Amino acid sequence: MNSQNTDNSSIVVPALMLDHVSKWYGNIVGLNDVSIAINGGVTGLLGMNGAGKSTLFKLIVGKLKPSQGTVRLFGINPWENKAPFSRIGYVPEHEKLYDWMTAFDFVTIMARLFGHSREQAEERAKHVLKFVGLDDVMHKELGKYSKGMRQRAKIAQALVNDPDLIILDEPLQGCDPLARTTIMNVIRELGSMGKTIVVSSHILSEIERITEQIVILHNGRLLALGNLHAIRDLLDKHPHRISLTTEEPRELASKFLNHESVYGVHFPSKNELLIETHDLGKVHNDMPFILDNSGIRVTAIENPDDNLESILEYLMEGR
Amino acid sequence: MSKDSRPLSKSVWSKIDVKSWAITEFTLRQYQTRKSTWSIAIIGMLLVTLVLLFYIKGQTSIIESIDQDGDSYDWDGDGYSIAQELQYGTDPNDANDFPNVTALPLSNWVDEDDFSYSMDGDNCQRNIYGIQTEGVCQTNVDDDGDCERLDWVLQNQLLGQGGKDSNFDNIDCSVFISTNIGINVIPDNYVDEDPNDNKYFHETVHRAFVLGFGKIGFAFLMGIFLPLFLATGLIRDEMESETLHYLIGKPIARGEFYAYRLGGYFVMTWAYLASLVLIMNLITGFIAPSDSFFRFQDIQMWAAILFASCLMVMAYGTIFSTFGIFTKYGMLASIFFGVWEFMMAMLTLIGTGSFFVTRMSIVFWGMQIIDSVSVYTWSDSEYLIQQGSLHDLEGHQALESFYGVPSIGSSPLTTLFTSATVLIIITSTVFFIGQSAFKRKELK
Repeated sequence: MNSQNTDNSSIVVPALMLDHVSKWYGNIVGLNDVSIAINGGVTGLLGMNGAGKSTLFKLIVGKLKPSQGTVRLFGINPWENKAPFSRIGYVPEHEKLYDWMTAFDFVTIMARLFGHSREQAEERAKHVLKFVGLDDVMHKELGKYSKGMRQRAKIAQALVNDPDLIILDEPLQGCDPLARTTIMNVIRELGSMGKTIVVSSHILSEIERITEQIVILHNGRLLALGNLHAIRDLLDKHPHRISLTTEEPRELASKFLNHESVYGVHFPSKNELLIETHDLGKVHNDMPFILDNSGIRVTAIENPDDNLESILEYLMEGR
Repeated sequence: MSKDSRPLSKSVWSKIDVKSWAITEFTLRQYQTRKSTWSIAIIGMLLVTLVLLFYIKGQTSIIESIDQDGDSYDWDGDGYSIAQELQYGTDPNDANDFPNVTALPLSNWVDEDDFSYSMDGDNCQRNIYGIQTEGVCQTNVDDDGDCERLDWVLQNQLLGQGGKDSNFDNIDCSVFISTNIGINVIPDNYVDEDPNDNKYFHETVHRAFVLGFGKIGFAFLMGIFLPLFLATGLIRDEMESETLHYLIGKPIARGEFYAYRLGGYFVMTWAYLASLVLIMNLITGFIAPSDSFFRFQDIQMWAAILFASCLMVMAYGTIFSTFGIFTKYGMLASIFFGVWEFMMAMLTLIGTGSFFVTRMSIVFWGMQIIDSVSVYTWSDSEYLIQQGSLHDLEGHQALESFYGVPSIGSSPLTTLFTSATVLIIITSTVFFIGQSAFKRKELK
C-alpha cells in the first residue's frame, strides 16, 4: 500500500492512485483532499456511514468525476480511457440485480461485455460461480436468491474477467454468519492470489478478519492508513473497558483490582462487571489466569470500546 | 506480427461485435421481462384488430348504385331507357316512338361509364383563354358513347362551353391529364360520368384506410407510443435502479453502450412493426378490390409505411432516450414532445405541407414518405378524389382526408429521399447529443 516505488530500472504503477482528490455535492463535501496509492493485497476501507467510502469507490470506478485532483487506475484516468476497466471488478454496495436473470446468465452477459465469446463467457461464468460457491444454484433466478447468495453473485460478476483490482463496497452488509464466512474466505483467497483488493466496511471486526492493511475515512477525510495492528496497539494503550458477565461481579472485581493495568471497576448491573484499563492487551493476556485462579464462572466477555467508533474517537483525539 | 496472430483490426472488431451483440441481446431479453413491453404490444395488436374489423365491414358492405347521368330512366314508359332510345334515335319522351329492338334492362345504364383514367395517352395541350397546359390526352374513353351523341347532350341542355370538347384539348370526348401541379384530370362532358359506385367506394375506402392507418396508426401512434414506453427508460431506468454500473463498468465506451442499447430497441420495435405491417398487408391484400386473388400493388405502400414507421420510432426513440439521459423527468418531457407532435400531425393532415411549422416535427417527414410512395402506387388518387367530389360519390371524403400531396422537392422521389434523410439526420444529431451527455454524466 502507498507504494509508488521508483528506482532506476523500473517504475511500479500502482493499481489505484488518488492524488489530492476531492468531491463536492453542491455544498456538501463527499471527499476532501484524499491522496492514496494502493497496489497488491487486501486493503480494508473503514469508515462510519457517510464517511465517504462509497464516494471514494464511485470515483475509482468512474461513476463520479473528482471535483479536484486526479484518479488513476493502473496509471490511466478512467474518464479518458476505458481500458483499465478490463482489469477491474466492482461489487457495488446496493443489492440491486437483474432479478429475472439466472446467476449464470447474469455472469455470462457480464463476461461477454469484456469481449469474450459466448462459449468463453459461459466457461468463465461457471468457473467464478463455482469459486464463490454458487455452482449448484447458478441456474436459479437471482430474484430467488438469499441476501448472501446475491452478494456472492455480485462478487462472481466482478471476478469474471480475472481482474487485477477488485473493489468491494460493503460486501458483508446484511449477510448471515455463514455467508459472511464464505465471502471473507473468498476475499482472503483472492488476496492470496496476488490481486489488489479494496474492501469497505463500517465494522472493524469484519475487516480485521480479512486484512491488516486499512484505510480509515472520516467525514470525507483520510484519517489513517497503515497496519491495523499498529493502530490497535496504539489504541490498546488508550483507556479501555472490558465487560464481564458473571453472578459474582464484586468478588471478581477484587481479583482484577490487584492487576497493575486496571485502574477502576464499575457495576452497571447486577450481573455485570466493567473493568477500566490502560493496557487492553495485557489485561486480556492475564485474564485466563485471573479467572482460573478465582474459580468464578464468567458467561460473557465483551470489549465495548473495541470498535470503529472508539478507533475514530481515539484518532480524532490525536489530531 | 506472427503468422498465427490475428490482425489488430480483426481482433478489435470481433470484440466490438461480441460486446454489441451482448448488449443488444441483453436489452431484448430485458424487454421480454417487462410488463410495459407486453402491454404496449397487446394494445397495438388490439388496435390493429379493431381497425381491421372496421375495414372488413367497410369492404364487405354493398353501396347502392346511383345513375349519375340519369340515362337509365324510362320517361315515356315505353319500356326503353333514355340511353337505348337515344342510341336508336327514338324520342325518349314519346311512348309510341321506341326502337325496334328488344328492350334492355334499365340497369344496363347504371354505372355504365366508369373511370378510364390511366397515364397512357398521347402528349397534347389544353388551351383555355390563351393559357396553354401540357398534358396527356386519352381517347376512346367514353364507355357508353353518350358524349358522342351530341344531339342527346344538346337535347338535355347539359352541354357546357366547348361542346364535346369541354376540356379544350382539341379532342372530342377525351380525358385530359395535366401533370403540372400534382395530377389534374379533366374529362369532357359525359365522359366517365357514371362510375361504379360500389367499386369506387371500396377502392377509395381501401386507399383511405391504408393511408390513414399508415400515417396515424403506424407512423404517428405506434411511432410515438412504442418509444415512449420502450425507449425513454433505456438508460434512465438503469440509472434509477442503480444497475447501470454492471453494464458500463466494463471496457466499453459509454457512447458505444448507448448505441448498442438503442440497437436492441430498434431490433425490438422494428420487428414488432414489421409483423404488424405484414399482418395488415396480408389481410387487406386478400380483402381489398383487386383483379387477382391478392392486391400485390399495395406491397410497396405497406413497405413505405413500415419504412416511415421504422424511421419514426428510430427518431422518437433516440429523442426520448436522450431526454431520459438528461433528466429523470424524461417521460414528462417525452409526453410534452408527443403533444407537440400530435398537433403537427393534425396540421400536416389538414394542410398537407402548407403549414411550414409542421416541418419542425418528426411526424411531418414520416407522413411525407408515405405520401410520396402513395403517388407512385396509386397515381390516380387525385383523379378519384376529383371525380368523387364532382359526382358526390361515397368514399371520396375519406380518401381526401388522408391523401396528401408530397410537398418537398420537385418530385415524389425527391420528397422520399429528402424526408428519409431529414429523419436520419435528426436521429443522428440527437444521438450524438445524448451520447455526449451520457459520456459526461455522473452516476450518483
